[in-house]
Amino acid sequence: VQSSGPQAAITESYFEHRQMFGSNWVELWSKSPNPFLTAVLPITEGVGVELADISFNSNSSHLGEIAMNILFRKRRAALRLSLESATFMADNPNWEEASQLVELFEELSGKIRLVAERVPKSQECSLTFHLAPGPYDFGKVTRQLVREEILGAGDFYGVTRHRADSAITVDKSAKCPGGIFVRLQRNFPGEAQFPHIAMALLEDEKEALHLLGIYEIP
Amino acid sequence: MIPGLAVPNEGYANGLNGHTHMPAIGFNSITVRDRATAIPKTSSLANLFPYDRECKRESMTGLLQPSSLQLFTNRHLAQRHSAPQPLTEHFTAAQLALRELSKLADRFRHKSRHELEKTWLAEHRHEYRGRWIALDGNRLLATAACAKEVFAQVASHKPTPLVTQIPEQELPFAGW
Repeated sequence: VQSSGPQAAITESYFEHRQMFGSNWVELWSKSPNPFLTAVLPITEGVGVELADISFNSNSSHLGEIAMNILFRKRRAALRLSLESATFMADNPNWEEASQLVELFEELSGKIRLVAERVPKSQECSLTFHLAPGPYDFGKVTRQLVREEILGAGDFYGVTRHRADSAITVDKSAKCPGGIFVRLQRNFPGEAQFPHIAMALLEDEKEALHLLGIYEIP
Repeated sequence: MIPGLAVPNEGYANGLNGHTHMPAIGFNSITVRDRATAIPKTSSLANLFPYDRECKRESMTGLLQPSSLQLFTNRHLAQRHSAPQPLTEHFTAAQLALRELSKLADRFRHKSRHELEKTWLAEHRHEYRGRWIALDGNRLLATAACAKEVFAQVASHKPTPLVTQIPEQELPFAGW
């Protein structure tokens, strides 16, 4: 890799983590004031959340659609709390701010567990990003991941590697010319906490880049 | 996008110049200016947030889950695009973040254990009145009539468990 030329760079990324609790908390949700909102409000105050950033899907047609949404603009993150799951999202998460984001999500998760009086049954995490090629020819790299004599010649190949608790997908980026789209998915046990989840994701990131022939990472 | 709604004059639509069919948001109501009507505050703001074209495109590439679409609205997307981050910078920052994450992991593990112990004590203390107990989170490790016996039973347990005596009789609170 030429150090003077353009480097491979992440142009855009998105993180979504869902905690499934296996049973609903309809009885808690119908209390007034909503105990979940009361519990998480003190956390939101410290990160610039305004009232307009909190909403309920009150026009939902069934219980499965009911959710409380909180947008954390300062952290480019959001929480969606439904009647049986909590989804944490972050837009363009980066490692410089990882500890702040992890702290926020773990605090929120802790409050939800406390109010719901249960721990998640399982957790699913997804991190996706677009990678600009820099000096790499990702078309050539992905050609090595498939059997072209069976698949037929192509400019670029998309591949998913599934394992029992994780999956790595690489595909041609629809946004970044010559770039690649990477999706990392991993399941975690219910008791896993965000610091461990973040550390596992870092290992997955490195593994995905190694699959793409990128080894020049610290 | 909701047809027939007026140009905003305030609120969250900053950065959306050019969109001519957005509702104006006040503190307690959403005013539809060209119809001079108001949608009460109980209406869901999330349902009024328009789905952005970019959101839809991302959804097709798998970047966004459908459930996320309502949250990442035009307002948010207007602020989202940051400069591309070279991989070397990305992973240098990640190495630094790992140290912080390890500290956070310890802190949250301790906190979570403490909360489980508090909950266990609240639920079970009446069963062990006058006894000494050792707890690790919500696991009862040992119980005995005296502290020495409990400490002997958990001497090798890691991490160090909570050892405490449940009072024989709870003192009634009589105010300050």
